[in-house]
Amino acid sequence: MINSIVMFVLLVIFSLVLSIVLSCYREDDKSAILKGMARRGAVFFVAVAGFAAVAYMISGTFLLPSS
Amino acid sequence: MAVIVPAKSTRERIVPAVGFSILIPGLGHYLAGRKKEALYWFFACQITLLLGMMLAGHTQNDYGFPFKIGDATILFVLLPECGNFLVTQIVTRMYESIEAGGSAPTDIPWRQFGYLLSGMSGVLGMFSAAHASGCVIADNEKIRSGQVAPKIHPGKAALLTLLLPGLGHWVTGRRFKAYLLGGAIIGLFLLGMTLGGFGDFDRQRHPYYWAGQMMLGGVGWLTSALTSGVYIVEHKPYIDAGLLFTTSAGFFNVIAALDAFHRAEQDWLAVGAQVEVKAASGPKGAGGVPGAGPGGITGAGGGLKGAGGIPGGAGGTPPTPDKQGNQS
Repeated sequence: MINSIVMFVLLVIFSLVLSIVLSCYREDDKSAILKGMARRGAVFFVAVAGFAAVAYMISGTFLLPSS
Repeated sequence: MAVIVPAKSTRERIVPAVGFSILIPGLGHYLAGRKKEALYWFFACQITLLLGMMLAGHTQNDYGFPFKIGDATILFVLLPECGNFLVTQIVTRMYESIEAGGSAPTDIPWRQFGYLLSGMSGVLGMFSAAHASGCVIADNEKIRSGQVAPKIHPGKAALLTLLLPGLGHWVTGRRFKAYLLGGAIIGLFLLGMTLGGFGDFDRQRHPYYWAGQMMLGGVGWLTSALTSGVYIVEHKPYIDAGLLFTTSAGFFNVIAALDAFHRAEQDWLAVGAQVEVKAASGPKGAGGVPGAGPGGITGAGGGLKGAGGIPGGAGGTPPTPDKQGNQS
């Protein structure tokens, strides 16, 4: 059984690692890396969470076999 | 943001060094005049490939895709072995998988180690191209008098990242990035392995993911060797996330290696005798490479609204503006 809280934590971890790699690729300065990490991590997290929310909503409404 | 690029003559040598290294690892080094290193790369890649194929009974062929015209196979795509392109093409045509003769995978006790070796061959083939490119830069971009050459050339920085994520940044003096990248990539990989019960680094079970996992280099290869006898025997609810994490860690390591190469290249060129500046995408006003020193080159910032300059030593090349208004 998939636990939503665990999936949430895994998304947070993946967003963090992705933001680290991207920021380190784009920047070479410590402060710029840290600043970029927060922005890039938040953008990725919100985008994926947004898709998940939309998918959850339409799976519970339009895509239900009975509707 | 502006970046320093190698001189045109160097860039023209890099292209064949990379192309021929992918074709036959070592050939790029040979053409660059590094004959001893050419031999090392050639034998390292070919021995691992041939030994790996032999140990796995050529069952690697079962994971590839032949592109055919009629009955003739014109290209056999086998990842990541295709990083050692030509010999992979020859070997996959010469021998058939022993499974085609009726043997089962379980009849081949060393197959996982064979997959590991042949996969290493392909990854090393790709990184031989980066190393050859770094050798070309080191040999052709001479250091200005009075300047000290960086400890390692860009190809070595990329190669060290393959050995251990972050190591390429560490040796170029970027300790913060080394900790951050190394910790993040290895941490993501280990978390992914834990979610998969340490059984998800398995070519037979997940051949596509496996190709990406191999890109992690030393850490991944060691883990693969240590967990080759571990199989998934029960349902793991988060194994999909585990596979995503371990494969992503492999791809992230490639990005880290590219960054290590690029930063080491910038370090090398910053003390080089012939410098060319090109505009790169970035924020306005951030142009130029900050630096100070008499003589040398002062950059106007790649056509952007910024000011800055490349560190100049005594007797540097006089600046000549190019089409974008850069100084070279």
